[in-house]
Amino acid sequence: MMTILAFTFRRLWKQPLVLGLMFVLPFIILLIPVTGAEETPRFQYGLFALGLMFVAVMLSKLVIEDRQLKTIVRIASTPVSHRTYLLGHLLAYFLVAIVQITFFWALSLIRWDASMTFFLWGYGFLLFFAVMAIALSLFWHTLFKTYTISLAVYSIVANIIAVIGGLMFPLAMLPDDIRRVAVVMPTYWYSYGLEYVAEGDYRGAFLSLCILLGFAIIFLSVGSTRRFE
Amino acid sequence: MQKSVAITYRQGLWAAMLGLFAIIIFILRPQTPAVFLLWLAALGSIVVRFRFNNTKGLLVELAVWVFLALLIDGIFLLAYPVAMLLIYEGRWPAAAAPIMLWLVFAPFDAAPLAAALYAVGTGLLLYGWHLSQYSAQQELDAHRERLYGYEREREDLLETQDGISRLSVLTERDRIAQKLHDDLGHELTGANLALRAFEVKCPDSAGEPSFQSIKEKLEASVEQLRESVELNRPEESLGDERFRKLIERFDFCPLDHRRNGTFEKLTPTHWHLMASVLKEAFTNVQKHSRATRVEVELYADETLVRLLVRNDGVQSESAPAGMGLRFMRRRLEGVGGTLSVHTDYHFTLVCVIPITFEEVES
Repeated sequence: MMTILAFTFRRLWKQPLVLGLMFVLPFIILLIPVTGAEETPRFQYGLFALGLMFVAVMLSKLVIEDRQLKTIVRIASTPVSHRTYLLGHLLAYFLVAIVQITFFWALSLIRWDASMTFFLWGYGFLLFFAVMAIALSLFWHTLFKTYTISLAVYSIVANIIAVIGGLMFPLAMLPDDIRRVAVVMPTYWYSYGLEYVAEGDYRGAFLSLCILLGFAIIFLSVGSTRRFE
Repeated sequence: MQKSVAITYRQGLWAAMLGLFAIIIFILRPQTPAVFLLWLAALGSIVVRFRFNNTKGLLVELAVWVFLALLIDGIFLLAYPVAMLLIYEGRWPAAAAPIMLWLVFAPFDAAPLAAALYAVGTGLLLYGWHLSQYSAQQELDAHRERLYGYEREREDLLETQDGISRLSVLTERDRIAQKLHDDLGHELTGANLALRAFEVKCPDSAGEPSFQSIKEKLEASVEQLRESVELNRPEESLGDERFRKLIERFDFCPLDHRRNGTFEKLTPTHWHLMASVLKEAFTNVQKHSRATRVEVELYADETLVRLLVRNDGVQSESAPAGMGLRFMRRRLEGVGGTLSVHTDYHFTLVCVIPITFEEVES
């Protein structure tokens, strides 16, 4: 697995655009001040999560690329199991995501003024959301044959998910009917959980974390199906 | 071959499940995180079970869910997917439990009732679908098995035909060599001896060139005859020899070989058939048994020949129902013989072939 992990890192390193975007994004979000009645940077964390969703789908480009270029067929002829292959890739993406999250989180500590409890919970939410986003993108990529189409459709769907999931504006602004549908979106539970943290209801926040993990498990189980074309 | 595009009942179950979960979301509105988590756990467990084809651990899962559900007031939601799955699998007594659970905990509203009816209805529908697909699958498997059987039989038949034609060629060559040796050879040797006697008796006429020429020619033809008899004798072992060689070559475990009776009446075809049975029996011993001792008993008289092969290794239960033996039996029945198999403590194979083959209509 270490070989696959090392190679995945090496291949990720050759995508300067993605890596650059990953480290520019936090700075842009950091420019947004906390305004109004808000005491916590919930909205900024939501925007960052939206960025994270795109970062995850761009990182997992390698998986769909392997399938497109038939590299996966060659790998299948080696003693490497599909599970090892997936684990190596997902772990590499997750480690990269952790670096980005930690970077953003450290800067957010300096930039915004909120309680430490919020930041600690926030860090946890970001980590769980990253796991969920990587699982989602793995699942998403199994639905399409080429990366371009996959990314194009994803950018539409992800934006819709972000809007009704409350990443772009507070959940309170959502109409009731949409809110009822939005509960099936993982993004809803991310922003919902942060809202709970801000209100001080940690049981709800914990359950939201569990829900994010549940989504990740479902996406992973469906997305880990081996496909050759 | 046309590619099948039919939806399997598994896909149908997926669709029904998603429909059920959608109904719960839209009608029953589980918007509190705990209820949603329960909903998600149900979905996740079904997804995981289907993805990894895992049907074990269902009870553990149920216990965990029930425990989770008892903490919150959403327990009746749990009854829907469980009842549907159980009905779909045809476990009627077990399906009663979630339905009872639902009756106790669900509020008497139109919405939960509609969802429950949906769950039970789709469960029944899927059960029927499952049954019909299952029987179709069984039928398909049976056909496939028969097809494989036929293919195997065809191969065996071709092999047998090949063996028999080779056997008849070899037998004929053997017979010709025997005939040459017994009749012509003896006559020629006799003539040669008579000539020598004549030579001793009448030394005068022996000096004549024509006599010498006759003598040389006769000696040359005796020599040539011996050579051609040698050449015509088949190199491949036939009949009894082949049978004995098979026994000598068997080295899987100690072998006890006994024979009694008279074997004069046996034709090469008898030996060929018995050698095939013995070969099949030895293959079975090596492949499927843990035998420590094998007995081979051969008996023949004026009317029949009987071969018994017995081993003390218990036939493994996973062994397929001897396609080779079945085919052997059919071949023996073709000449009026029988092949019977007894498996109690030992594995015994008895083959009986009549000395005069019956005319069996094909």
